[in-house]
Amino acid sequence: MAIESGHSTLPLSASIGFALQGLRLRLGRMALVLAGVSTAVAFMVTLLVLDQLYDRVPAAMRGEQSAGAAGAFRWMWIGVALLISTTGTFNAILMSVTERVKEIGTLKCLGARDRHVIQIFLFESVVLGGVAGLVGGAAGVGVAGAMFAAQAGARYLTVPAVVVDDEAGGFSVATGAWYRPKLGYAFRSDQTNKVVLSKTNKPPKVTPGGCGEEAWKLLDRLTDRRGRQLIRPPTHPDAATSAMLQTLPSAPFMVVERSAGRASAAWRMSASVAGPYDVEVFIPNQAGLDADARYRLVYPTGSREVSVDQSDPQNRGRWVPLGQVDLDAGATLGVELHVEPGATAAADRVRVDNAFSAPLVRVLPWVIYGAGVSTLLSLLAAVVPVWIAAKIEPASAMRYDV
Amino acid sequence: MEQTPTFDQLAVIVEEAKKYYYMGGEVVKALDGVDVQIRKGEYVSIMGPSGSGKTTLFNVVGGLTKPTSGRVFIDKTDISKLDATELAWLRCRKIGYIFQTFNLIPIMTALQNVTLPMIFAGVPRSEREDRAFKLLQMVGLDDRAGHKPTELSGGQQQRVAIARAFANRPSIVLADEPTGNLDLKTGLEIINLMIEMNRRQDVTIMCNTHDLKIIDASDRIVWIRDGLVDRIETKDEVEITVGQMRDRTTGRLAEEQ
Repeated sequence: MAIESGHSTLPLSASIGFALQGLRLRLGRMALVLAGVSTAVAFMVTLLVLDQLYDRVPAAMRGEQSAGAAGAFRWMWIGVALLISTTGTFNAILMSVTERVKEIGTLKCLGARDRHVIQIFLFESVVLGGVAGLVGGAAGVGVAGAMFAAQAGARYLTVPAVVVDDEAGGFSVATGAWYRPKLGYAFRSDQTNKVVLSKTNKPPKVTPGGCGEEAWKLLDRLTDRRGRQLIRPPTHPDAATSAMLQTLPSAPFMVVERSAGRASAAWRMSASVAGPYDVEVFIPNQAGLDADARYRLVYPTGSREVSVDQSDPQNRGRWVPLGQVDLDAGATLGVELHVEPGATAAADRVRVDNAFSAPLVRVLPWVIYGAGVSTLLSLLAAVVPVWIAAKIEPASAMRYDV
Repeated sequence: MEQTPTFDQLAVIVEEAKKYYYMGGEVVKALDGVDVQIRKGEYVSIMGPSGSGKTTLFNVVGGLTKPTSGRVFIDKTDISKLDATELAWLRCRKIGYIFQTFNLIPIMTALQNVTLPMIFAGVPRSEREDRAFKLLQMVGLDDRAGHKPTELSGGQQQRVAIARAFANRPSIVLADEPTGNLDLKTGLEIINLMIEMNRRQDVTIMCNTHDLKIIDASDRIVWIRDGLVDRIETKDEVEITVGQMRDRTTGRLAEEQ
């Protein structure tokens, strides 16, 4: 034989370059396919991640909704979504091949073998599937997280009542703190209303009758974003009324300052679901507070006292933890702040976080999972078009129509 | 030709090549026993009307189609005996192709297009880039090396295609209507370039064409009609014939005579 033996080659880098440039040339259409595939992958990952999340939620918190119903048909929906997207990929690769019949023929005239053509188009589909899977996987985790947070937030909601009670003055004020745990971290409404009370060395004037009604209307209006009422009726509605009326517009928080007698503030809240709760108190950024404010946590199974230094600049303007308590569903937690005669203490908001932390969803494994599934399907979709491409005759280079 | 050339002196031997297509139960005899011999370094034009079997002969010689029967030797190799891999290697190393529609890869620059056959041939990167650049210089397009085909005129694209065809120092370059998509002046430039490449590279050229301008460049002209070799003429013989045809008609219809 006069021809030196050997065979034509196409380095991997060259075929990758070819594939990438091929994709770039058809960017618009490829972006469309990519969007379709990544949506399907995102759908799949969303369902699977939600499943995983709800599996880890304690049974008591899960409520009546469980993944059961969705679970039975889950794979059917996922299958349908993936099938549709795979059809799109098939179509795109097939078009990419049929558009390039002449180009492939030319490559074969220049020495390309069937396997080189296969290489190029497989890379194209792998890149397409891989990128779509990465995007879809990440999006899926995001969507699942957002959905879980929204549902979880609604489900674990408890509205606590905060009651400020002045024994000596004989009045009490009710207010509320709003909290909402969200994926292990509490979401706090910025509408948290403040307990406000002026100096109380003298009992405030209690106007009987209409004034009380007025005040309650005011309190009624304090609702959260969803229109839920923040305030629960205090123990002594009439007394609360006058205090609120006097002080709401002026001070953002209450300073309890006693020259004589004892004053106390109390917050009360009930747990809607069983579980551990973190209790925190907000110390306002206010000078002149005393060092030793004693908070008392009262719960069905016992009580304990926690001391907070309200004068410490490090605590000012911050939420200071009072500790964790375990509550059964429906159990009431009380927080009391007793102010000794001559002492000055601030009583601002108390908040309670459901200390249950939502499971941490690791994004990377899901992204890899999505990319893997998507790449596999893309390869599957590419089998027939790539075979067609490989079998294109070199003589196709001489076609004039394409 | 006067003397019968020896086997060693021949770049292409086509022996009794037949190519039959079956279309709707009818046999189409694209080639019906063609014998052609092309010497090394020769510039041969294949002429004939549309549907005469020119393109089929091109495909058969280029290893793009297997003949139904008969034998084709390229550089002493019987290509009807080669498998797919060997054929790809033959196309890569021994044959250069020039197409009517240029067929440059649209996503590649001129330089990359010339490099491509050398990638398939396994030429190291630096060497192939050097060689591609020299080839572009030869066709006068070294200043356009970084341009994509869409940024080049038809004539320039065909020049790049010619450079590409010569990239792997083939034994034979097959050109299918190389001037078919070009205007008169550009077509002439391409013809001259092909003559120059033929002389300088000592490469055999077989050119399928309708274009009478190419006759001037050819050593011999093979006239194909109805799948058979009608006649083979040398350049000198044809020049007279063409002259007569030009007197009678005007150009395009000439080959129908």
